[in-house]
Amino acid sequence: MVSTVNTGTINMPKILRQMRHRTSNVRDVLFQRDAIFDKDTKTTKADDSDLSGPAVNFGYEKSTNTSMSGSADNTVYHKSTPELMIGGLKVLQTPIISRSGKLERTGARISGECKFYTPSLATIRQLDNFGETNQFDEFEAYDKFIDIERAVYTPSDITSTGNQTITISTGSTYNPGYEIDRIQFKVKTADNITSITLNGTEGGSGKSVVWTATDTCTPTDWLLIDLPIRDITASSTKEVYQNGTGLTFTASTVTLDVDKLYGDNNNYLSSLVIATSSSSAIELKDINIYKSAEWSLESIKDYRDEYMLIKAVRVRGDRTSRRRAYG
Amino acid sequence: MAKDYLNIIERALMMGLSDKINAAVTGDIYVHGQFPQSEDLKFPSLIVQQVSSGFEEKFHGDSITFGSSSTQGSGEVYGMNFQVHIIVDKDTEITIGSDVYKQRRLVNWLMLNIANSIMEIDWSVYEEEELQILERHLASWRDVGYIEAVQWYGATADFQIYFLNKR
Repeated sequence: MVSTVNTGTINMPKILRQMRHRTSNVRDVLFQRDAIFDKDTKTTKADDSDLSGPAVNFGYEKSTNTSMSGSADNTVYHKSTPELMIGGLKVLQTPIISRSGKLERTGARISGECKFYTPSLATIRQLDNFGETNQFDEFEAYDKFIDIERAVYTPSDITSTGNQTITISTGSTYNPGYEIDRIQFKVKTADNITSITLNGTEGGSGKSVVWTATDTCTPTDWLLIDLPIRDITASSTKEVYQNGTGLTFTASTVTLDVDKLYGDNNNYLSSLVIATSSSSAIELKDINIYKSAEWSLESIKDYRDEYMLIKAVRVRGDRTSRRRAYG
Repeated sequence: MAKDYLNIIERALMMGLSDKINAAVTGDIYVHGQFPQSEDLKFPSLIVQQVSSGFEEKFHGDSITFGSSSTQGSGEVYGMNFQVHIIVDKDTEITIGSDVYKQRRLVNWLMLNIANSIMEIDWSVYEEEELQILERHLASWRDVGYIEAVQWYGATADFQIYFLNKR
């Protein structure tokens, strides 16, 4: 941490560092803010002549995210704002797991609430990526923290060269996939990361989810990659932040439905493949295929130099037993 | 496949209202769908909120021809209910003619001119879609008043529109 940040009287970053040796309530969460898309607006009539007055904003978003200058009086301004997805935020969470079932119109939903104690905003703004992107100013309501609720598969660290295949099921064991939500690892190599593939066998056939790097991703220093493996469709995109810049990964193949992998010899997770552009040295650590908990920030109290107290609610949550049963 | 009438009408209504009312003033009057985010809110603000829709009456029968077209179709009268809200900040000024209008005077002007604009909308000017509007009713303005906490003047009216839902 740079010396210009006032650590306050309690020095929250130091407390978190010390506490994490004694309690797993200190978490490394992933900060997520959804993309902000263009609003649907109209400035012209059916014959393309101008409407009087300002652009009419219909009040709903389009699926495009492009910058528009808004230079003329009745034109629209928009600054392209992709999703923010920044890892490595150390927070104290109490409690870690909060589950209560509610029967709602959408069915039984698992909800919960918790509190996060974070370092001061000034400290967070000095962290990797948070300080480097100009998209992040402060936490806002409806931002999300994604936590590793349960580490399902934690392969060993790797120091090797070239593409890496990490075996999840050995052939004598058949590990299920319905529990997992996301893949996370740290990587360091001079080569480009070209794709990340999760392979499985579903109904006896090989299936996969492949995230392909659309932007050049060269992690010469440790880079945290965290990508979802459910609720995506082919051509879905996600951002991996490196030095404050979002690098786009595109889901090029989505044939694997992890919920159907209940863990027998015809339905199991088989391997995770991290492909690179050449055969330089590669290091992988903190590899985690995990069940996530998504916390939506609800209220934010900022105690300036000391810490922030954030109340969050769990907005989405399904029951693992139903995933297994219904696929 | 039926046309996307609800969106066509909602968009045309907002565009028509904005176009007509802004042509009559100096300064900008902002028309929003339901509801503007606080970052988007500018004054005076007119909010067109669709609150309900549904069948009104089916009297066209099934598999009949409409007009000169030989294509058979079905249709009925379909209704949409809107609430139109006016919100004017205490400091908002709009020049109408040579006079500057503010606060309750501006709300009064907006109430009558929104009603006029809605009755005069030529739907084909705003959407390149065949649209047969059968009736439109702007009920009385209500809740005309002032919210002290936010220093807003405002009013709300119910508005119904009936159209031929042909498919």
